[in-house]
Amino acid sequence: MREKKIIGDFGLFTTISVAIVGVGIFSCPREVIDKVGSDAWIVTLVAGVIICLLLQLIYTVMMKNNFEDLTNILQNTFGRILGGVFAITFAMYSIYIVSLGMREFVEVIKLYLLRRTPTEFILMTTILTGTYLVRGEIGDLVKFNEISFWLMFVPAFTVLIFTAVNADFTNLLPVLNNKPMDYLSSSKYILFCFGGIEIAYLIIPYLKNKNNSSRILRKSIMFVTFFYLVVMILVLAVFSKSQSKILLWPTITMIQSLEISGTFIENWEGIVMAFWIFFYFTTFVNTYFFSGEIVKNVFKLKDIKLSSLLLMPIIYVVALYPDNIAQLYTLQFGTTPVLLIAIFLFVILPILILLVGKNRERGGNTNET
Amino acid sequence: MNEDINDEIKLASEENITYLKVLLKDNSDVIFRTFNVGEWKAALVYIDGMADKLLLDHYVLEPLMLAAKGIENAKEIKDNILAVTDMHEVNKLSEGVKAALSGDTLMFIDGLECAYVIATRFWPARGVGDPSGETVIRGAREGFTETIRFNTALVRRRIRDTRLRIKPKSIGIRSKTDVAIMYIEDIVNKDVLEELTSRIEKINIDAVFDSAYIEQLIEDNKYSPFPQIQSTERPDVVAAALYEGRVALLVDNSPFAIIVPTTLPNLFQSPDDYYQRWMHSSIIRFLRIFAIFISLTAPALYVAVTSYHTSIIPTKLAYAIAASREGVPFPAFIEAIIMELFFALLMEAVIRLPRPIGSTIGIVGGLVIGQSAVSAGIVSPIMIIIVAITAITTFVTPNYEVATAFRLVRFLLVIASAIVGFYGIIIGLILLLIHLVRMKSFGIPYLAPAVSTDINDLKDMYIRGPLSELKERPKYMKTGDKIRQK
Amino acid sequence: MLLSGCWDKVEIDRRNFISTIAIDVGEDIGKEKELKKLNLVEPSSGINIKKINVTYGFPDMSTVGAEKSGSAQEKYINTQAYSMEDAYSEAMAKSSRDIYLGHTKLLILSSDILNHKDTVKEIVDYLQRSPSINRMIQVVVSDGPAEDYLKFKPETENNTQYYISGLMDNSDRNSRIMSMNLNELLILLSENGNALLPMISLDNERKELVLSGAAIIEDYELKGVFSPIQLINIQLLSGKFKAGKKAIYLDGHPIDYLIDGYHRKIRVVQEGNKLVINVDIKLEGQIGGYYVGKKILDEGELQKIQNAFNSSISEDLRKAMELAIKEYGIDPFGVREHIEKFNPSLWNKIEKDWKTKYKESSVNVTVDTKIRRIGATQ
Repeated sequence: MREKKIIGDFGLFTTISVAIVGVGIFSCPREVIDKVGSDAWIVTLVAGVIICLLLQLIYTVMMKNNFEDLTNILQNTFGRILGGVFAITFAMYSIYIVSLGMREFVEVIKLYLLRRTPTEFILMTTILTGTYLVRGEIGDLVKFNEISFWLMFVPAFTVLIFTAVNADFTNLLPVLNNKPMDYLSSSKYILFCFGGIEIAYLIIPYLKNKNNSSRILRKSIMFVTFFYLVVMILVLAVFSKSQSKILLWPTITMIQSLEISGTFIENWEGIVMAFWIFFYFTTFVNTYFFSGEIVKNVFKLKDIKLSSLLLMPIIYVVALYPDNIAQLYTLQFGTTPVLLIAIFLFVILPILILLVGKNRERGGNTNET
Repeated sequence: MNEDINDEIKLASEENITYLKVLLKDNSDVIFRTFNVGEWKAALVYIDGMADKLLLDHYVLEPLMLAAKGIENAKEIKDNILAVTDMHEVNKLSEGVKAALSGDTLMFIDGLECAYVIATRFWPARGVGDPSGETVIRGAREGFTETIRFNTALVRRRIRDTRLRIKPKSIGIRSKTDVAIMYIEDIVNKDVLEELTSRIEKINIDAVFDSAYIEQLIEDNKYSPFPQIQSTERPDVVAAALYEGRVALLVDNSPFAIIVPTTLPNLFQSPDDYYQRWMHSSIIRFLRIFAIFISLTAPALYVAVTSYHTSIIPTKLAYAIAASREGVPFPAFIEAIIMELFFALLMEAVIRLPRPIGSTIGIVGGLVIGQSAVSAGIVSPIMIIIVAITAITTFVTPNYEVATAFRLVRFLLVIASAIVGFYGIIIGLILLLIHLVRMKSFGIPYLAPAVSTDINDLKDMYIRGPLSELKERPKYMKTGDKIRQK
Repeated sequence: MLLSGCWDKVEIDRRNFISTIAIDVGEDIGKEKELKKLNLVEPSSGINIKKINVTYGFPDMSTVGAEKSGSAQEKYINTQAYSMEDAYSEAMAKSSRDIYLGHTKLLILSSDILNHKDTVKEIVDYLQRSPSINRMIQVVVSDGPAEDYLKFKPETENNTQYYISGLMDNSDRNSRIMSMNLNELLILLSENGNALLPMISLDNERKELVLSGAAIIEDYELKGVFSPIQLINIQLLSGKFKAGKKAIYLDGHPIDYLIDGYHRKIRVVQEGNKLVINVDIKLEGQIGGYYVGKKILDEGELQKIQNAFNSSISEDLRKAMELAIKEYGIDPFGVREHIEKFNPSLWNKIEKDWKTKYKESSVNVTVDTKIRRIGATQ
């Protein structure tokens, strides 16, 4: 694209935070608490650390490869064809996850806000709105993230503080009273909730201040982990394990149960819904842009406008594919191929890039002498 | 479209006059005065009503005619005889004609290849008075007038720095309107200045009536309802903008100066913010943000809450609203549209009417008609309240153009809300946000400093930090000289 | 598609704001056992059973004009149905306006229906699953048919729902009334199927509606009732006490002790094979009333009174607790949660036999009363 150094520190921070925090915070408390009960917050902490490491991995990959575009790196390392295949896999995986996420998003909207409105309509409007933003440049995306950051987290924290009134923090005990296998199986869910770090691949090449970014990345992960921790703890405290296992979206119900007499708003579900839409939308639009970029680079299209048009129908179709909400959850977490691809893309691929890159360096050096 | 003037100045003044009499025929206010200066013939051309006849009589004609005897050559006339401060030579006839048509006096003298232009501009002008649209509690009460020279003086009094530049340009093929580009040399953002200059050169229109014409011809994005260039009647606003590295344009015949580049937060500031103390200003700024939000969403929220998500409001309020809407024939959405329409009509009417009638109609229209509509059962009282709140909050924004933009957005939000309720409002707001985020004004992001944030800039954005803390110029402007205060 | 829109729009004046839901047994409730054998969907046979009788109470909006608000008359819609959802659709068929549950404030379950465990479970599932029913609605059990309570016209308020909510709000000042909202109820039920629900009864002669203690729900069935006095004791033991009074007879006259400070600690130890539950309670308060002529402004005198209260209250509480444990087997005191949270190793051992161990446990209650003030006179 045009300029190479356009994103500042704050832009990086907000983009990572906003892209990761998605609708996961509404549904994943149930799944994690289901498996490990009151230790959910410990699992969250550990997951945060793991994600931080993964993000550092991404940064190292970028650094060693001169902060180039992801597609370029992949193609330089693995050759044009194989690199292209990897890149497209990345893009497709992201689209798949985000489209299923959109379906979940729409289902909740239909449940709480608009019962009879057709799903297609809500899907279309969301996709079109996202496309409007994606057709701009990456600078616009980051600016949007910067503003969304404030709009999302300030009200979220305020509302969460209010819910603490209903909380009984002794529900967080006992600690570490679960079998090790449970911890492992719950980590699958929580790690999915942290999905969205691939956006770093997109942004790091455009940073103004590349050396400081490692610190900023850490800070943003810490922030996200903190936020998730707070949510997890509050859900546990307000509902205790047993009820949390039953509720599909405990966070929503928790905010629904808020009762602050004397305010203008009696049932907070409308407010929650506003959050819900914003949280999802930011994740969606960032991932959409990321995938669009990859498609554009692999197929050497001139503009992201074309690749976004290509992706639009794919998102629509994938989102409509699950027949019901149960199938939706299976598709998201249950199928093994998805899991394997995720591990491959996030863990194995970066390591591969580093290894192959090192080999090439060494090979190059010996050639010179 | 371009004029066709023979540019040669003949040596014989009579020939020039004959040519001009043909060029400017059928004009009763063009005056030609031929006279003698010693042995030479001379002539004056000026416009009755625009030139200062007194100056011509006493300080041009009198010395010329009286000192006729001792003159050696024509050059002496300029240096020794004419007792006027501002005069210069022109070599092209077209320049001289333009000067004459602007109120100066053109003088031909036999034997000279050049002509003299004497500055004699003088016409009835409105005095410097209150700027009508931008009143402040504390601060100067001066506003620009229609004469560009007075206006530049008003600004220059506030910037007595040698690095202030006032560059002249003439825009409009037929109107030849004088335009002054003002900026401070070492503070201004050079890219913006370049961009502005190139855009102005591209203007090829026959007449410019007001700075608004220029504004519309150089703005970045014609298709957005939001203004990207600020216009103001206040010299202190212009001076402050120049100190921030922006560029101002003053246009003759227009009391509105335009300032470039402009960001949305600029449009929400009033000079009062800086003349009041910081705590007060910070609170007012928060109030403004709150007011903007209410003004955008109030009717849409009303429609959403009453038609779709009634569980959000407290029960007693829900009962009150339901009770008050008993018997109202229209659904909430139609009510909202009707009231918006009525209000817009009222506002337009009030502006066009002469002042005393205008305010009366405003009150009568608002109160009486609203009350009657409620009694007749056409609209519900809650709707009247919503409209009143919307109106009041809209006028908290200091800038009229932004308020109009908001009206359009508000209308669209109401429609979105009518289709899908709350979700529609949120998606509408997101679309608005995206639109604003993508806009740039002369290269500066439209929403700076809310985006591309530098922590320092925040001191002057949502709040107004104490004056002693505002030490640097805004970072997003990428100015030359960065320090304001030590 | 856009033009056909506005799918969910319902104008606010076309809505019926249901304020109270009353659930009673239907005429066919006896056929509950038959229904359990129904497996596959044979729509006609199972669906026409009128298992429950649901009454929806709402303020009549059509009588309220544009001037007044909130003081509308109460009207009712009565439906017989096989499930809550069916009741809802029956009600819609009977109402000219859209039935709206978003502002419901009160749920009355009749004591009769609490004798039918399976139906109760179905009802609870509906309440949990429905996104439109507010979780903060108050829940009470009515002594007898809930419908009567809905139709009762209280003296001080315009409709029953305000009256009952007002009564429950008083529970802050007087713990012989407890308040329970749906959220708490669902949490309790999902933990172990046990709960205490406030009970209302109708005194037909004096035309009064009173909150009369608590209904004991065990495993989704009504097992017994605590009287208001017993309820205070239970509240004291469970840590939910807010304010109230206790009285003893001293020298032939009652002394009233108004409690305004309260602290409870619970400890569970295992002695041999049995659990021993120790409850320590600290109370703070003042003397409300005694007898003219008796002077109590004396340290020794006050100490005597305090000791008397100590023994009286601890005995009272111990009896109440044993009653709850041995006869009803319920745990409103949070003993189970306490062990699980604070003594997880012990919990892991006894989790399997919890019910039996609980019934066999012994109870010790120690009370420490402090009388801080004695009012305005000696």
